[in-house]
Amino acid sequence: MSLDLISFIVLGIITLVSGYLVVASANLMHAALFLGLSFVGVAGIYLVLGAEFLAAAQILIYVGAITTLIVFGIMVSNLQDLKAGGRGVWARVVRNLASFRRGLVPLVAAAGFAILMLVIYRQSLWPAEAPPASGSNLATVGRLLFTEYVVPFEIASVILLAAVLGAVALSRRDDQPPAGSTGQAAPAAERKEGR
Amino acid sequence: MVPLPYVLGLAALLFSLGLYGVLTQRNAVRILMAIELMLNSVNLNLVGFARYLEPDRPGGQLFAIFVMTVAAAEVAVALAIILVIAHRRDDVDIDKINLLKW
Amino acid sequence: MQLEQSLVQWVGNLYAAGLSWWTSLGIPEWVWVALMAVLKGVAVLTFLLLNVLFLIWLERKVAGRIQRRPGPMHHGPQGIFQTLFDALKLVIKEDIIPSQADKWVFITAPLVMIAPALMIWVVMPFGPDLIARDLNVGLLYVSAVSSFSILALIMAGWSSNNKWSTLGAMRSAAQMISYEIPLGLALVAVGMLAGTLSLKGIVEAQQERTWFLLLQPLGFLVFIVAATAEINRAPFNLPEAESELVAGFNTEYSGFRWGVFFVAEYANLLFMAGMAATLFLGGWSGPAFLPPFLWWLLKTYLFVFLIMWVGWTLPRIRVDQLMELGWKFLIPVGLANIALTGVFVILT
Repeated sequence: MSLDLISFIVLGIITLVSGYLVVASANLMHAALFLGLSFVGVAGIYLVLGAEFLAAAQILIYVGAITTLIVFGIMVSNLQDLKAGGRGVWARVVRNLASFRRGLVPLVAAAGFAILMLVIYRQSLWPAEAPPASGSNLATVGRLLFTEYVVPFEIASVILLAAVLGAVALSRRDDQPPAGSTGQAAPAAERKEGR
Repeated sequence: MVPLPYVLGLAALLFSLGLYGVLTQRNAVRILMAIELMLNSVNLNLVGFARYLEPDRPGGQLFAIFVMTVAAAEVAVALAIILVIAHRRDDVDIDKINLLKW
Repeated sequence: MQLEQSLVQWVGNLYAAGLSWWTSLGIPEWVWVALMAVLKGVAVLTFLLLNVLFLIWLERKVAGRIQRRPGPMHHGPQGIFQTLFDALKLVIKEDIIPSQADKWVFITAPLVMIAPALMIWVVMPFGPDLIARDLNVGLLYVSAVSSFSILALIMAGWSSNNKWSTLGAMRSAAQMISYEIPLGLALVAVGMLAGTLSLKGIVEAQQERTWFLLLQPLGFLVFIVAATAEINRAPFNLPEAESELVAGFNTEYSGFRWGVFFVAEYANLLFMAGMAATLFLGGWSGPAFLPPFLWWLLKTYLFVFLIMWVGWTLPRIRVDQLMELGWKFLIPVGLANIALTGVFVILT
């Protein structure tokens, strides 16, 4: 057991348990917060795997932006969770067992996928030891991003611009004059003005 | 060092959690969260392979960065759509949002 | 200078000796490394908490002087022990959780607030060797870890189940998301100029050239304004605007939990001042008649005083003014600064 392996196991358990609670918890807000926790766990695993830049980016984008956006959305619009019957996910599973859409089929699909992948991973031959990485992760990623992957990088910026425009256009209220007074990019911030 | 199958196994479990969520949930926001879980597990896979197969040219990490970018864009637009629907219909049950189906 | 160098060397020797003794006992090396990391954390924590106690006193004194009153005067010379007694009072107060609150989120929110406020100190260079861990993604780490506090404020405001709290949380989320962008733009320009994201590397780059304050006046302006807004200080203290929102997101908090928010706030103030000193005033570098650590402390407290001075002089701004300042002034200026810095880096 090395420190790497122990950290990986702990972080993996955190990620999986909070991932489970995202699907299972009865409260929508709690689910969103657990989603954030599971992102943090994934960021920790990136660190264990030596992807420092990606770990920082994961925290910055997933926790700082996406989770905040979802939580903010839930809070602003007062989205209630649908009353799906039983408290926990298992009560729901048992109750809906007969139903085609929400009963056995998704359960079998998800569990079957996991079991299939685990069996494949067990039987394949993998490199036992990772070759040591040379140089700093940050410099490598930066150089690759602006040489080999520069076209996807530019396309990503166009996608982001389109998303900003789309979010602003969608969340603008029709019954108001065009909200040109504040050019906020985040739909969350835009909603705040609208209310 | 963490063996590669462990990373892949974790990613598979996380993916199937997300898959189950997407298939069973009726709340649009909850489905969005489950999709994020699946995207994260894909990223884990990519980073794990990048670490083991090409540590000097981590193309997998680059792909993960692009996945994150697209995920951020996706959440922004999807959440805006959900908020508009919630505002108009007071409901985010995707089973009832079926206007385009008929 | 000499004293600090020899002290650092002595600690380093002690560390190596301890490691060899430890491995001779047959216990794996990483246990020692983990133990030492905990020890380092405790050292930084102690330093931080002492500074926070002092900062709270300083804030009240500065506020008092600006408003032509003496500030706290009892308990020790010039009331210096006032915060200590305040902290004691907070600890022994009753711990109230509102009955309609979301209990677990309510309890977790202060932890989510304080943990990043302490974690962020990992990359702060107090001196040439006095740094807990010099990450090569230092600047990115800073902006990533500081983004946790938005989530903490939302958790606190939402779980309190109180309209003042929720309003404060919504304001703070909008404010901090908006001001994180100019803050990041200012950090990018500094990283471009230094050619590295490691904070130690940035200080060394400033020793080679000059203070980045002279090379990055626009970046500095954007940074200091955005940093003040990011840590919710007056004149940007809308999230807790006491005259309109009772106390904003921490209306329902009392006793020790409220104290935790308070400590995190001042720890963030000290960190942002330290960042300003490190990024723009050369951090620990300075003439040799003072040890590097004291240079860092001096520059940091200069910025602490500046932020307090501005905060107690200007009135609080309105929400729409806040958004306008952020999106229509700071972000364009930050982008222009990056373009200018790019031209400058290519030309020199």
